[in-house]
Amino acid sequence: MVPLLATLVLLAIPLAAQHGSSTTVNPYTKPDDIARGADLYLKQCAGCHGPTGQGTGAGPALNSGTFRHGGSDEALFQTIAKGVPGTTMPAFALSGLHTWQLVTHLRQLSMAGRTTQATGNPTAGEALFKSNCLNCHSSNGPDLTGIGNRASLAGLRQSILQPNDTVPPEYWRVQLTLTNGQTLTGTRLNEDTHSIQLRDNRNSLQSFAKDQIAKLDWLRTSPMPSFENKLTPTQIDDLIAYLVSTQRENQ
Amino acid sequence: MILPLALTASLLAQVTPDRIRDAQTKEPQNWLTYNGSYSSTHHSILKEITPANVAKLDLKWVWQSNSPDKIEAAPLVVDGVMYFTDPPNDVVALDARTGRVFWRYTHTLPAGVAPCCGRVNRGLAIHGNTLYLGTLDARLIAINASTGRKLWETVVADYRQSYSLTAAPLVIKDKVLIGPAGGELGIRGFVAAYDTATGREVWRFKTIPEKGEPGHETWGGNSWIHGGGPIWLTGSYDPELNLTYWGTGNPGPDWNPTMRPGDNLYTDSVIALDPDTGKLKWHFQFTPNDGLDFDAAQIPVLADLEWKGRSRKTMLWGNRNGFFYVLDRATGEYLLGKPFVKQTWATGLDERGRPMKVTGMTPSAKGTLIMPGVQGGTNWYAPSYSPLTKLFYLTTWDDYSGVYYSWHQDYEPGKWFAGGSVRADVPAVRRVEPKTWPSEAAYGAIRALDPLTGQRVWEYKTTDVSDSGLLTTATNLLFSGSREGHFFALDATNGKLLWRRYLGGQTAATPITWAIEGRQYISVPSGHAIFTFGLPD
Repeated sequence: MVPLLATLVLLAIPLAAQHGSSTTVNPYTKPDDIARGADLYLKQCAGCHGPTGQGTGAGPALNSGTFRHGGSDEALFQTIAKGVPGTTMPAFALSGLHTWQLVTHLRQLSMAGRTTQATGNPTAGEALFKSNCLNCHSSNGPDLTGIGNRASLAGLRQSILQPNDTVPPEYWRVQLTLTNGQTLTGTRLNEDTHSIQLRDNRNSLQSFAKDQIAKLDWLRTSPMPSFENKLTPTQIDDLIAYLVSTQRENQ
Repeated sequence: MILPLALTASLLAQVTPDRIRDAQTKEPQNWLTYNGSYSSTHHSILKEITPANVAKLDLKWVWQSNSPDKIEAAPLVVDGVMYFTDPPNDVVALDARTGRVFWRYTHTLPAGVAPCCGRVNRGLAIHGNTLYLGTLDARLIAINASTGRKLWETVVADYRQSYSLTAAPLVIKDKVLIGPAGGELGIRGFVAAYDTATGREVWRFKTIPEKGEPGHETWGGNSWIHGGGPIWLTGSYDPELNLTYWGTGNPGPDWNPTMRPGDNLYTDSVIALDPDTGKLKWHFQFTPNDGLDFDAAQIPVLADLEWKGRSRKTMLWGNRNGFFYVLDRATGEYLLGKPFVKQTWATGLDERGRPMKVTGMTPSAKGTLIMPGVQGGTNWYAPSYSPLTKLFYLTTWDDYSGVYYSWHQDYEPGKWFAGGSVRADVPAVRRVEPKTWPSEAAYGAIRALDPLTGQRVWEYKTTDVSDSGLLTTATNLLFSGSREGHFFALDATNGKLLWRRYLGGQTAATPITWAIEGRQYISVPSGHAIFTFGLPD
């Protein structure tokens, strides 16, 4: 175990290497650092966060490109070094070098598998996004900011053409028939043994006691329509190129 | 308004070993050990609260913590004073009737303590007027129950080698017993006994046999050196047999059993020790060469049953591996074993209770889907046995699976040594709000089993899983908290819901019941607070 004082000294060195920016940038991003970071990740992190950063029940996914406690280099460094109080994420007493190498590896997790480039025109794609997608995706639909970090090209294409194929549970819809005969449909927000919470088709928040419900059906279809017949293949390529370009580096 | 009972709360505790021994029958108004009594049945003979009046329960007081860590402690209640740990390692003494604090003891932890699953503590032990606390930096601390001042402290193990103490200690006669956590961190487990007056170590039983000791041959190569076998949950004691029983935890590395060929004694076992000498009298291993992290860190429930026509001293055990067992607690003889949740890792148990494992149901590089998932069919949360209903009650997780990954891992001091990981849709240990994961990903159920057959008699299902222990009473009430935030009472004969309150936080501890001047109370942690209920005045 590295003595605490030495750790503080090592922490100070990279953090002092600022060049007029307000956050510190990872100085250890060479191939050697990537390899060492992967090794450290497997030993220190994979037990809770999964071998490919996919998450387990014990720790969240780290491969989405967005990080709950800050995604800048410096924020990631601090989260590893200090832990997250009130959770099972401990502070890791590693050297500054090893902590930066872990940060380098975390960047790899969200970019993993990106071997091909999008071929369409992102400027044309942006216009298409604003007229076809922004309305829903700025309110009810999943937040697509930074989707370029976490979705593959094939995944994006599938979501646009066959949105019913993989609907994440947080977007499942539920159809209720109440004991008074009333029916309604909404997105399930939360549920426990005695009640269910949803947002209905008019965006109202509703909560029902389960003993008020006569019938509860799960609709695992997406409210998103397929764009297979609404956009041309070229337009879909442009849209995908735009979405991929919305990667965020530091947020 | 002068409260005539104020004098009661100020007497010295003076908890003698005889009082602890007779706690369940002679002092139902107190809760003198983590499990309430040496038999750990979590059953109270108090009768003021009944199925007829339980719906009238009033909230009497709430004590709130400033700690962000999970409350896993069961409080002690001794003659009107409640003692518990505020996580991780502070100790608080409260007036049990009003929830007002008498004193607080603060323990400062160093950086670098290594609990696997949260900075938690399961509670205290008491002997005479002294409280005993195990800390995350692996110290046993004796505290004066009147003043909250430290009397002595003893180093139990080296926290820099990833040993920590999370269990509530157990007092037996003139000794206080405790074991360490750290099964994911390459420790070697033990039960150690300390003199209650001085803190001097009297004996230590190591869960991994050393060279020359029987059982050492069940570890291939040098795998015994970081073999695990932690003891992170308080055991039980039979004063007539003079045996103390402890569940042992997983072998390490957790998810790579090929690195440690052999049965890996005495991990995932129950051990019966002589409390005077620490000598092992018998053991029973639930899961040999475990690759699924199925710690046998459960509370041994001691019950005398009419077994095939004669009275028999038995031990009832709902194991993390998904099987319910009945053992003879005098000899360790296996009497019965039956699954109580869906499981796919074993076809069953043989005639000696050894699991018959299914080939391929083991962690792999690509991930293997296995039931139950890593938290098991049940875990450390307290079960209950009622001698009135003659039913064994436990909190279960069903329809629960995990994808188990395995890789080679070399031991490095202070670092995670688990050789793999497990993925599941259900959060492993913490409540996550809102609940957005699929309905198919595990549900919770309180189940009542007939210990004579292992058959399920009734179940009460919940949408989300639960980390709450169970409490039954002599009026056939069963109390439980939940991960969802509900605290509720069931009819212990049939599982019907009688009363509930939404307290809004995860209960990862066991409700307790106690009394002052014949008035019965129920206390339960939920979130970062302790709630106490009683009937209206």
